[in-house]
Amino acid sequence: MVKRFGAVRALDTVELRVTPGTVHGLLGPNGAGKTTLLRMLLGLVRPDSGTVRVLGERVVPHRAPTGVAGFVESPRFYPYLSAQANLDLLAGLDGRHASVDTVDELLARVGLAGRGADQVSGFSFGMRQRLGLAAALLREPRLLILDEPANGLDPAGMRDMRALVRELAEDGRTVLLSSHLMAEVEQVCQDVTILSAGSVAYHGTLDALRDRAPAPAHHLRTSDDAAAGAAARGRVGIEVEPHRHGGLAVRAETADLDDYLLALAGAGVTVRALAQTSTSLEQLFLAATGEDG
Amino acid sequence: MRYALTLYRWELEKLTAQWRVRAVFGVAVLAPWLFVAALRLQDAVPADTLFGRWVHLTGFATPLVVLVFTTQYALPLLISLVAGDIFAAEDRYGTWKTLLTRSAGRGAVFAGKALAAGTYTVVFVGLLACSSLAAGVVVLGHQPLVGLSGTLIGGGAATGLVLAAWASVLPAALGFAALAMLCSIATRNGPAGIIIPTMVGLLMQLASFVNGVDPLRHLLLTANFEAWHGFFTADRYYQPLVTSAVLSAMYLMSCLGIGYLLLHRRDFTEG
Amino acid sequence: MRRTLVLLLGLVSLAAGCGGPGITGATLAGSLGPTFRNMYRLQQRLLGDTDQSTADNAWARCFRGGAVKPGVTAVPGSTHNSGSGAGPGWTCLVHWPAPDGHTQTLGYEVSVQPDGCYTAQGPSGYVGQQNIRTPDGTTVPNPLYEFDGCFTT
Ligand SMILES: Nc1ncnc2c1ncn2[C@@H]1O[C@H](COP(=O)(O)OP(=O)(O)O)[C@@H](O)[C@H]1O
Ligand SMILES: [Mg+2]
Repeated sequence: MVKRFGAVRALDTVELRVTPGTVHGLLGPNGAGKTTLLRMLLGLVRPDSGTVRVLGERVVPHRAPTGVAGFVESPRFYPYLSAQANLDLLAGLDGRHASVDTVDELLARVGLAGRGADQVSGFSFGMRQRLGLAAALLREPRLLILDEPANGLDPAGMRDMRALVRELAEDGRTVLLSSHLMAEVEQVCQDVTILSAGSVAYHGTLDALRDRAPAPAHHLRTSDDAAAGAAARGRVGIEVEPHRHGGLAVRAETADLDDYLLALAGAGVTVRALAQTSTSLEQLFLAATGEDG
Repeated sequence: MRYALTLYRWELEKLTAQWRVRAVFGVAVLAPWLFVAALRLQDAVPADTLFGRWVHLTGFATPLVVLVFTTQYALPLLISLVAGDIFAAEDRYGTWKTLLTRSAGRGAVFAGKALAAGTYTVVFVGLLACSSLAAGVVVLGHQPLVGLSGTLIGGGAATGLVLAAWASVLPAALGFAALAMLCSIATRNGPAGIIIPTMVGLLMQLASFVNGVDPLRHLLLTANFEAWHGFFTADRYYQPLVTSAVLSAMYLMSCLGIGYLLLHRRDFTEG
Repeated sequence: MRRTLVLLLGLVSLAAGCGGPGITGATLAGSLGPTFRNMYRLQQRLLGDTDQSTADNAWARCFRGGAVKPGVTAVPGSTHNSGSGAGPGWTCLVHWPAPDGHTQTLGYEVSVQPDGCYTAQGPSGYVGQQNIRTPDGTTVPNPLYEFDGCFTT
């Protein structure tokens, strides 16, 4: 399928294979098309051409597909109704009934215990994010779609969210979680799809991605950069070139880097500073999405 | 269908939770009493209005004067206040995506909202009718009403005719509700959904006063607002009611049809 | 769908536009005459039925234009119902044969709305002031001074 916004080709033939019972990361820089893809999966946006299928069912742009729930961007509710009333309403739209007990339990699960009777207008951004998760869980989905769920959460909130997402996957639910931060995805996902300018740049496990990853990058300052550069020549597993902010840019795995630093000492070059500038996955992510510079 | 009814129930709940709706209902109940109180306190009569000169003679004139005033100036506005916002409110709160990512389809959402707006319209007209009839009869008495052929209409018959007159404006009232809903869907903007039907109503009212556009006059939704005049003559006539009710139904169905198509085709790429 | 709509619209405008006789001198007179009789009866009732005169034989003749001065009893060239269309500027002469054979004539200025409802204003010198006083002392509008009526168009 294809989705355009004017001249922008937001999405072009995306296929996601998500293993049931896992957390799948949907990675991509801002504007990559993550939200647009998730909207399509939820039936909010129709493709310009082609069809969207999820869980073996063709998505019709009339309702959410069976077994799929979630939210895109920040979840929204009726501010003049209580959290309980909002969830009640949404349960009704699923043909269910949300008893006070069910709702209380759900709210406790997402960290909103005792707030059911409060009007949503008094909720902070993070609380609405949590309520959005509760609203999605109310539908008891097989596939849970979360679009940048950590946005707007405080560090404790992010930790809770991650724990909850892992827990859900352990319960056998499949979670599709989008993010523009590799670090966030790395902590909860087994598999990732990297989206870049509307098409898939990588699809597979994080481990396989790590194998393909370039070595971590470092910024090295020495007493004699020229000698240090010469010392690297001919060594395997290490790449050294002048850094754009002065000093040297070094890409190497830890063991190779250790050997190299010992060699430098042996050659009479002292190390003034050494800092890791990016992990290997971030390297790969940036490379895959063409944001390497 | 089940979803549409669930949604309908929730739309009513959402409506009654809003101060705007409560305020409009409060006005519908209280305004007629203030009007008769003002009439009671002074001698002047709204003689320009049909039945206006008899307001001191009988309380049955009150609901008819209120009916003329309301349909001429206020009804499209008071209906659009809710019907023109019922879809755009979801845009304002950004809740379309919340609503449409459940099992209920867009058709059910549309039906629930349309039913709720229709219910609001009927309840509002009913409240205003009953309140103005009660205010008139309680404060100004239930003497016979002078009909539009000069015959006297006794209390029982007058009550029935007054209620029938109010009921007879429901087709156009619902037509305006449908127009407001269409504006609400098309503009995705509450104020536009309220202002556009109100202006259309006033323009139609203006056009119906102009002579020389006679065939056109019958195509105006507001023609239905005058159809009850025939109830109060010695030889009652219903032709205007029948034609204007058919016309109102056509307005209603085209507005709802177009509105549904717009909602059905909409891509929810924002919010 | 669109064709049905056009067809329906056509039907409605036909039914509405060409169904009735429209607003003419004859239709107006046919409504105003009987309404005047009823209003006369109402005035008598409000005044306490003191004199036994009736207007049960009164009839009207309406035509467009020919502004009447209040109390003018006969206007040349007004022997037929004539004219058509809504608007102000209608004149209706109410002829009121008394039992003694003498016919009194009152000129009403009439304004007709497009929907067939009209307001007729009488010559105050002949029909009385805007308000009259009932026997119990309350002031009420004089039905003959100004009255509304409606007829099917
Ligand atoms: N409503 C819209 N109108 C026009 N362009 C849009 C709209 N929504 C998204 N886009 C464009 O589509 C592309 C993908 O956007 P989006 O799916 O929101 O990206 P992401 O969620 O990955 O940040 C971007 O280029 C964005 O500018
Ligand atoms: Mg996004």
